[in-house]
Amino acid sequence: MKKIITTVVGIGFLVGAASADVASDQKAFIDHFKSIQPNVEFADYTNGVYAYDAGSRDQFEEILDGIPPYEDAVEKGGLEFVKFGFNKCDALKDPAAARVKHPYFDEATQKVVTLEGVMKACYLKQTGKKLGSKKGKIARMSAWISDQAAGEKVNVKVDTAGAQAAYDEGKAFFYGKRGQFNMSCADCHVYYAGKKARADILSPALGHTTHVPMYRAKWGGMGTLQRRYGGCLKNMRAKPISAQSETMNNLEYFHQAMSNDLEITADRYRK
Amino acid sequence: MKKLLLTTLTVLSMSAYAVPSCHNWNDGSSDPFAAAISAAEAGYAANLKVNMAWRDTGKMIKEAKKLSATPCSDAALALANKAHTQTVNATTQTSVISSSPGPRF
Ligand code: HEC
Repeated sequence: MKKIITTVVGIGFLVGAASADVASDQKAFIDHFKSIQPNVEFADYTNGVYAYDAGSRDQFEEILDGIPPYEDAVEKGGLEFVKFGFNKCDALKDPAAARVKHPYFDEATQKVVTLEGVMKACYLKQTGKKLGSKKGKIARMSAWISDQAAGEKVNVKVDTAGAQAAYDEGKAFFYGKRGQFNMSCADCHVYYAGKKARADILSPALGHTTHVPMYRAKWGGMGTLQRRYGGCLKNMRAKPISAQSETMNNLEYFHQAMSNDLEITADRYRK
Repeated sequence: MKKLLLTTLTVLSMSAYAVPSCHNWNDGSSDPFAAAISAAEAGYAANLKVNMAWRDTGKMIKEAKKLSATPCSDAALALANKAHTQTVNATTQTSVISSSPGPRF
């Protein structure tokens, strides 16, 4: 009996160690970034790495002042939204609301539902075909949907036991070391944020999800948030995990929640 | 004739010892390449199942098998062992992650 109690207490302790509510997790997260960059305002994190580096920020602003390279793609995404009947799918017919609502935890399926996830389901329903998860149509349309919510705030809610479990799994993924380099997402985007990795300045994870899908000069096009996950996993020499799988969706759930209260922006350019 | 036979035997046995990956089916040992590659494959399958596989392990296994078409290939055995080591390390990472790591602050 005594042994059982010890075991139960032990398990309770383990879960307790990992499980904290979003607000307190985010507060610790923000405090960390404040400690490494005391002069950067919270609201400025919506600009990602450009909040940290004046030199590349000038370049960023010049690009935004001209004709940003994603402008045509986003416009095309708006046309495709109608062409493929997305306005006929309940989850998407109010695009601004859809961007703010996702990702959320669905109690019925006990799974995280992402914006790209409902887009794929809607596309299948309307056209009978499969939609990719990383680039091309889905990135263009998702960018257009997010543009409709520009100025609103990221607002991920974690308020049930199932939601908490999915969030905790995403959190463990983010902080866990993996791949041949034995690194975690946090190693680069939390502890080393603002430092240089080859030609790049490592962006803070705070604000990572305000401008997705993003246009990336290196890609020469647009990509979804989960396309980027695949790229970073490869750089860590870990085998990329399928976009829109449960594991990647849980990661996104945690990752987006850490940007709660930051403005969603249409300035989706990154180097 | 006797001398020739002796020489041949010596050369044969020497080559068998000089190339440790060359399995001698007659000495009761198991084939080192077969053992290494099957350990690598089992480890890799287990890593994949929990989304903890490393990027290059699959390629290494494939390449090792290709090299093993050449009998007694040292390179094939070395690569199979390397792939196996990767899967062992990925399994160690998996057990660390299962304790739900959080931030250091
Ligand atoms: C070895 C360092 C490293 C690791 C580890 C790493 N990344 Fe990255 N990541 C980069 C670099 C370099 C870039 C491009 C420059 C930048 O935005 O930081 C990048 C970019 C990103 C971006 C795009 C940021 C933006 O503003 O558009 C996201 C999102 C991202 N990483 C998420 C992750 C996630 C999630 C993980 C863990 C699975 C991860 N990264 C692991 C180096 C890393």
